This record gives sequence, C-alpha cells and structure tokens, in this order.
Amino acid sequence: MTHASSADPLLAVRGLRVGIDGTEAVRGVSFAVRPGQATALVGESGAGKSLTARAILGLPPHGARISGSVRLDGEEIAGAGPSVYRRLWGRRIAYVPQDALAVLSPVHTVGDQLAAAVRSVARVPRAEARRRAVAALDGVGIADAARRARALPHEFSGGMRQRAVIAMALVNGPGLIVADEPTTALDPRVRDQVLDVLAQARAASGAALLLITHDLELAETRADEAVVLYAGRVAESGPAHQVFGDPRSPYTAGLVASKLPGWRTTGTARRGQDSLSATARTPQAPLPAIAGTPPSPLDLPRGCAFAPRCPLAAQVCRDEEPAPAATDPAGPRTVACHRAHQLPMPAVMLYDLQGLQDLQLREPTG
Amino acid sequence: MTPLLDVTDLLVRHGDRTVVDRVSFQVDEGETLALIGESGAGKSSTALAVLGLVGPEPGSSVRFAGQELTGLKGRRLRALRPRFQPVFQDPYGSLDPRAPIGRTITEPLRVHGRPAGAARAAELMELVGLDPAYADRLPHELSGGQCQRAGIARALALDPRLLVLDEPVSALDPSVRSGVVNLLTGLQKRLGLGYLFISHDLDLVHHVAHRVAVMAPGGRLVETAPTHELFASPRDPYTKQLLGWAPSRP
Repeated sequence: MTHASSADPLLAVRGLRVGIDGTEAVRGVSFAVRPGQATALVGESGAGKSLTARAILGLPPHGARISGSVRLDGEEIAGAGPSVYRRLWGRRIAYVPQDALAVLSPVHTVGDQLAAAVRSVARVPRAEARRRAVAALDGVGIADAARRARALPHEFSGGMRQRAVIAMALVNGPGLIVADEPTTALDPRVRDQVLDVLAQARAASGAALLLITHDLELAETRADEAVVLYAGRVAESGPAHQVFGDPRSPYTAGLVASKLPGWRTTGTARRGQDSLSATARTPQAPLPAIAGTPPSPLDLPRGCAFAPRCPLAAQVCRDEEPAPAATDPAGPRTVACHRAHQLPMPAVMLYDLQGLQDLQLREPTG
Repeated sequence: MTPLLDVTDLLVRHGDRTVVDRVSFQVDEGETLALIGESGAGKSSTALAVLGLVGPEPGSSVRFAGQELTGLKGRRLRALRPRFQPVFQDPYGSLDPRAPIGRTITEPLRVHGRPAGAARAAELMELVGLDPAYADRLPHELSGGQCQRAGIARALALDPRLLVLDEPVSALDPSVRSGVVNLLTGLQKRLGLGYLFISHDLDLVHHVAHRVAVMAPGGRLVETAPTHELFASPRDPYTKQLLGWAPSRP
C-alpha cells in the first residue's frame, strides 16, 4: 500500500509553521508517524495541536499561512490546495473529529453517507458501495449493521455515532487517520469502548493514527509515540511510555506531577511507606501544580515560552528559545530545554515542594 | 447537628419524564459530598434544584441550615441565596464577556445591596490566587484557569456556606487544573465551606470528596458512602459497574 519501506515514516512533518492574522500559533513543529503506528500530539488549548492537524489534513482556517514541510508517503503536501488534497482525502488520509455531528449529515442515513464516501473515491456500483458501508459498520462493532445502516445519525447514541465516523474514516483504506480529540465528548466507559474499536479497526487495516489530545492518560495508553506541544513548539517527543513515565522536559514533568492520583492505584498504595512522594498523597492534600497559565500566542515571552512557569528557569531560558535536541545521540527522544541535563531524577520531583527547595539552592550554571 | 444542606425526597420532572427520582442526601459544614454518575443521570438537574433554579415537585424538601427552601419566593428566598452559590463548568460562558472581571466578581454584592468597592474585589481576587491588577481585564483576555478562579471569587463574594460545583475543573487545561483543585480544597479548609461537588471524573472525586453519592440513569441515588469505602467496596450493582468492577453492557 505504501510506497516507502516500513522503516520510513508515513508522515514526516519538518519545521511546520502556521500563522493566522499575523500571529504564529505553530512555530516550527517536527515529528514523524510510522506506518501502522499511533502518534499522540499532546497539548493544552492554544498549544497549536489542532492547527497542526488541520494543516496536515489540508483543512487550515481561512487565511492561514503554512510553511515548512509535510510529507505523506514522501510526497510534499504542506500548504497544498484542495486540488491536491482531493486525491488524498479518504484514500490516504482521513479525519475523525471530536463532534461526530459535525461531519454526519442529519438528513441522510448513516449507511447512505458511508456508501457515498465509498463512491466518492471508487467507481463501484451502488450495491457494492452499500456492501462496503455495512461491512465498515460491522467492523467497528455496530451490531446488526445492515439494519442500523438505515438509521439517521440522531437515532444513534453518542458512542455509536463516533463509531460510525471511525467506520467512515476507514472505509476507503487510508494509511493515516487524524483524530482530533475523538472521545472528549463521551462518557469514560463509552470512551474506552470507542478507543478499543479504533485500535481493533486499525490493527485490521494497518492504518496509522495521529491522535490529537489534551489527555495525558489517553496519549500514554493509546499511542506508541508522543509529541508534547507547548505554545506552538515541541517541548518533548519520544516513545509515549518513556515521555510520560520519565519526562525529560520540565513542562511534561509538571503535567505528569500534577496528574490526579488514580483512584485505582492509590487505594492501598497511598499509605505505603516507601512509595515516591509524588504518589504518596492523602485525599485533599495539595497536588503538585504548575504555577501560572499558558501564554497567549499574541503575547509570547522572550526565550523559552515555558520559562515564566518553570521551577528550573535560568537567565539563558529567558533569553533564548531552546531547540529540540536528542536526549542521547542514538536515542529516539528529543527535548527542547536548556536545563534538561540538570533535571532531577525523577523529573516530577521538580514539582515536589521539598525537591524544589533543594534544587533552588543550586545556582544555575547554564 | 443540623446539616448545612438537607435534601429529602427531591423529585424533579421535565414534562412527564422523571429526571431526579426522590433523592435524599446531606452535606455538612466543611464537607464535600460528590455526586457521580453518567451524563444524563440527573446530576446537574439535582444541582439546579438545590440552587432553586428549577422547581422540584411537591413533596420534595431542600433545607438549608434547617430552613425549608422549596416554596420560598421573592424576598424570603433572596435573603437565603447568599448562603449557597454555584460554580459552573464553563469558565468563559459563566462570565459576562463585556464586563471587567473585577466588576463581575463583585456583582452579587451589588445585587444584594452590599458594599462592592475595588477593595472588596481585590480581597476576593487574592483569596482565589488572582492578581488584583487583572480586575480591569475582560474574560477573553484571561486564560481558562484564571476565568474559573474569577468564577469561584464571584461565588465567594457573599460569604456563602455552601458551594454547588458542577464539573468545576473538567473544562480546564491540565497544567492549571491541579492548581484550581488545590484552591478549592484549601478554601474549604480555611472557610469551612460545604461542597456539593458534581463530576464524572472518578479520580477527581476520589481526591476531593469526603462522601460520594452515586446516581444511576433515571435520577435514582443507588448508594451513598464515605469515599474510601465506596471505592474499596461498592455495594450496589450499578456502582460496581460504574467503577468497572462488573462488566458493563455495551
């Protein structure tokens, strides 16, 4: 299916910049998605994750300026128009939005819409399009798919609608699915079911996934690779379990440290004597927290955008924006931080009050 | 001791549909009672009924510090309103987009004819960790976390005893969420506030609540228990299902 070998990335983004109204909201983002793999693009509102996704999908907001490189299967598509993307949409790159109702027409049956998606890229008879549509619904776990295909979107539950949208994204066998917060609007239980379905359907079709999310847990449990964005730049990237298990940027470390202790894991372990301070919390005890708030793209600080909130910030951080660099020469991880080599181990200690006091005694050498 | 909030047989109907089905619970001073359940279970309708924003059916009782609220109208309800205040989910949507936040925060004081000067605004802003210099800013000039802090400051303006918090941090970015959670738990300790805390985030509820009430679809409370007990040994089949102890229906 892909032209390149499996070692080459399916999607390679290099130095992507997206500007709107004279403001640069995505400021030089680089990452890759390998065939069949799931990469999570993690960030808060305003970090530029949705804009990055929309630039890759060829659906940027009106008036956006896109520069840098986006290669899909080796083909340069950064900033390309609909004439190029029309060839790619559905067949090679497909989109799963947060709100299923944003892409499903309320007045056509789910089956008709899926069949239309099939016929939009393949010249097949209606009956064959219909057969593929029903098979796609069946493939995302919709029971009695032939009958359910005759229902209108509003007759589906939220979880079923999201399954239908996943079926529509997969129906033409794209190599890459871009899903923007696909389960944010769903209850936790339904969310897990929909994510399981997405994983199974991807395993069956071999499609890669670019998962846009603000949810660390989702990124950690559902992605192979993670790219953490802050203020339009990559703060840190690498294998998801490493990025969140042992963060190497102060921002990611802060996100991990301030995560609520899970009720499943803290029920008994909480009172353990030897557990890390980060997990040894009692109910209602103050959580480690990152000071301040994310900067507005209109009002970025000089130097590292995280410096005003960073417990480790030194003068160099306030003067120069750090570039992403490999944490070790052969390794798969990058971090953009002047003081990454001075982070405590584990880095979440940075947000532990005692750990922080110890650290501030040491004057920065950078 | 009289509970701060005592809800008995609360029944709320929308047309001929029962959304809250004869629910009873209490919240004490300094206590957080969490109300959990899936979307559509009736959690927010319960909150609105407690706030007097939707009318419950006859036979329902909502007592605040021993005083019956249902059936109260006009001046007599208004006299009690300052004692229980809401904090909403949407940090932007719950603030007037055209009013500087200092003004929004002290608006309840003006409504109730109390002094609402800049000094009181600054005091409230400091209480919730907002720089008083932001008093002149409009909501769109602030982040989500700052807006939610402003919403909490407004709720505190009238020195309430009870806050009704409906998903107060679920719309916030992860890097500011724990700061607002700390603010809420700290304010409770400092001011002895009672919280009716509505959320579907089990980790959050486990962290903040003293007791948990579980609402099943149809608006029935199936179980109320101290937090550690509920999470360690849920009794009701629906609670077990909600906590993932029992397989759920797809």
